[in-house]
Amino acid sequence: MDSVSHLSSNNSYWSFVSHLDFWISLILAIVSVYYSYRSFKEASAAKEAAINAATTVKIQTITIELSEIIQHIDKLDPKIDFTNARDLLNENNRRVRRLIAPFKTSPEYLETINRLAKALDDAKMALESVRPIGNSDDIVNLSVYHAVESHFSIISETLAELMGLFEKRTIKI
Amino acid sequence: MQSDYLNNIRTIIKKTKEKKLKWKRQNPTTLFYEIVDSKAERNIISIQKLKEGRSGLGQDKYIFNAINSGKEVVVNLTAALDVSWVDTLIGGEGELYSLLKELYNVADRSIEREGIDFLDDLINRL
Repeated sequence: MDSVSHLSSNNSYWSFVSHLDFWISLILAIVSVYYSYRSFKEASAAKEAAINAATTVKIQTITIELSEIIQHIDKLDPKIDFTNARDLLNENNRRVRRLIAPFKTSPEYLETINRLAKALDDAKMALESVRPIGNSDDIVNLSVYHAVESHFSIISETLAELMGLFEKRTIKI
Repeated sequence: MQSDYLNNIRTIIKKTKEKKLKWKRQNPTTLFYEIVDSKAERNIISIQKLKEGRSGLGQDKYIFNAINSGKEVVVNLTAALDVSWVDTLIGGEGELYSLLKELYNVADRSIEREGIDFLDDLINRL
């Protein structure tokens, strides 16, 4: 009895496999899986390209902002007083730190970014050394310039270096 | 020319030590002495101490200015310790640097002394 049922199921299997419909549907299934995979790969590549393009545009925008900051800092007036120097430093300190924040974890920018952050801290410290006492801020009117000029120059140089690194990345892409 | 300036600075140091010059502090690193002439015009001499280098750990730099009543800088002398630490140890500072450093220290002490005297006077009156 058992051997009879086994024989009949074996027969139905072979009859199913030998049927043309089975092979057509199998081939169609394989082809559709292949095209799905290809579509997935292309979509991934397109997504990566879109991210790279967006990053490039973002970096170009940042580079333009950094060049504006450099121009701003380079125009340091020798007769600048403490209040204006403090405002100039605070404004640019905020802008620079905001712009470089997303790149703090990138190894290729890390060293330059650390030097830049240190230069900003040094400039702040130098400015503190000329904080006016009483109402005598404008008597020796070059004292603020003398104190901060070299630090602003270091900030400007380091920003230019960072811009160069950003431009290098843009060229690679 | 340089030696004339050096002599002038020596004179200023001497007069400061004799308490003939009353120095004031514009900010923590800039000291000045103001001479108001008969036309009420203000002429100023100043000495500023700066830290060269990063994070305030660098070497000192001194800037001496003489400013006329029109706020023009007539004399500007700058001296930085531009020698190696070995030279510093054996006393290799330049003469201008040494004098400006001395002037700064003497003027700084005179301002501090004045503050202490003022406080002593207040305390004595309590």
